[in-house]
Amino acid sequence: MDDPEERFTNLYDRHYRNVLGYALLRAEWAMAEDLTSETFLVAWRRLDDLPDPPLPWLLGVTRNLLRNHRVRRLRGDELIARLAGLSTFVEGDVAERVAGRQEALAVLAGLREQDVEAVVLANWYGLTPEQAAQAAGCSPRTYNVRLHRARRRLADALKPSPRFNFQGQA
Amino acid sequence: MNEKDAIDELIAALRPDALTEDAYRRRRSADLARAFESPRTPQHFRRFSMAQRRPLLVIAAAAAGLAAAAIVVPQLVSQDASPSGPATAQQPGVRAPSVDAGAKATTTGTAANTRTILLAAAKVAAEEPITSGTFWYSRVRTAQKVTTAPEEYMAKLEPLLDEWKAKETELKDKPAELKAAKKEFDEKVLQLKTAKLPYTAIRSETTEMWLSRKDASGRRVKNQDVKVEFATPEDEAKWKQAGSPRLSDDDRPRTKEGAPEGIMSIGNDSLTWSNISKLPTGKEELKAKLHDLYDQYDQSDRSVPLAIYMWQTGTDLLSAPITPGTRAALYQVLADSTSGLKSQTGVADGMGRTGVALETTGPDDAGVADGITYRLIFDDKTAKLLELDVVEAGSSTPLLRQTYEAMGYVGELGAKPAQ
Repeated sequence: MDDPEERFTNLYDRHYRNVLGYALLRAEWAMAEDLTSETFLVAWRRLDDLPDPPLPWLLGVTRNLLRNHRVRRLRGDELIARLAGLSTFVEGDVAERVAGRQEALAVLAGLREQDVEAVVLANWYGLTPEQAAQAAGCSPRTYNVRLHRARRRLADALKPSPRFNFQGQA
Repeated sequence: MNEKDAIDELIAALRPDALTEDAYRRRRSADLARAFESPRTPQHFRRFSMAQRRPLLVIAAAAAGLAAAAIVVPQLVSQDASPSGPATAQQPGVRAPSVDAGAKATTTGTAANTRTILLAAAKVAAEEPITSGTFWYSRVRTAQKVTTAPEEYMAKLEPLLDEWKAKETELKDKPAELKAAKKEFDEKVLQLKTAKLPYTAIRSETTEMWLSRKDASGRRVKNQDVKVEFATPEDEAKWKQAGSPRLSDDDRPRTKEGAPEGIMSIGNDSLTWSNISKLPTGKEELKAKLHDLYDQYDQSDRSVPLAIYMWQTGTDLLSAPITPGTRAALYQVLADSTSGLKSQTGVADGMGRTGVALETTGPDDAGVADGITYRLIFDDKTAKLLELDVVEAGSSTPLLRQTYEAMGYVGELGAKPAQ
């Protein structure tokens, strides 16, 4: 068996950023960092018990901690404002290449937080529906519904032609 | 760009990589240290002060790691009743860790002679030729107080586990009661885990390490020559009275190929196996570097006194491939009264070698001031590290003793330095 400290260090080095990114979907900056530390402390105590891959489990722990700390779910627009502020999403860079960015952001902002979470889990972390469902604490079926709903609305928003129509609606 | 790609790119672009990277760098050292100082138990964890984390985490991990593993897979705990463990108590040539290093000291260092001794060691180190080799080698004998008898522990744990499993089924629709039952279970496990054995036994093992100075190759062979010994014949008698339970359930050596990963010096995560040979060789420069590191370290726990930091980092560096110049500078830095370390001459280590002990004290688990003595012993003739001890006040058996049996450069993987 590997040295526990080495295993834990590897786990931390590999997944810290992922866990913090997820915590930031919900919690304020300082709180998100503290909850991430807390998540890894739980992982240390359960080191011999970690599933493979560990990331869905880690995200699930973070979600439970968020709940225990009564961190309220953000409204979609708060979440997007926060993400837009946190991300490296700068004008003229990736944004330039993404058609209808504003519209897409507006759509994201209109989504339920759980639907945004569903897209993010698949996209940021490449989780399978089963893994993402574990992290999100729902059934794979529910997860797939959320993911599909979010993707469909984003796809609608990104269609070039009816952009002006969309703005009218928003 | 198709629709799906566009969505993916949009979402991917929202990932806050720059900021999580920043947080990762800021938090890593403190998060790792904080984890390592907590026992790996299911729910409860004691907080050790940072000052004690280094020695105690080893002990905590050994004790709590056993418990954590046991809870997950009790059936995997070996039931093999091999007599190889405690039966070696009387084995000749291996004395029970001698424990009265302090008492054996012939001179207690005053500030003035501490300084003289350390400056002399610095001179010895400075005159050493710069040696090198393909691999850095070390052989360390580690002796720790035994905290649990595995089979006794399992015998007591299993009924608790059964009881908890029954409760879990019974209360599965009553979350509040289930939570209370879980808490009660965790407390019982913690009590079991922290219960003191009625005798004092010491488990020892040897770890050898080869570390390439050129690439990522290396090897570590842990858990060699495992022995359990008793502090006194009375302790052994009490152990027999208790039914002679096995005191070590992990007697097989384990080999890991590849460069040792992980942390070279806990809390100093900017120090690595590869960059320590580039540390300053001048006293003032090294001192500035260590104070710099201390400032960074201090952010994670402001309670670590400089003396304990110096002791810890000093032992880490003296047990690693630093240059003779850095070693000399390190002794000069330690010689300054500002390092807070006291010395004693004529102190014997676990192999009976005599040297000079440098020590400081810190609070124990319960927060009792000076409850723990941290001691490093070096050979004043060669300026080499011989041993480090961590001793509880009022106890003659160290909590932890690491004896550096051999250290140096060798030409190839698996080779050992000439004695």
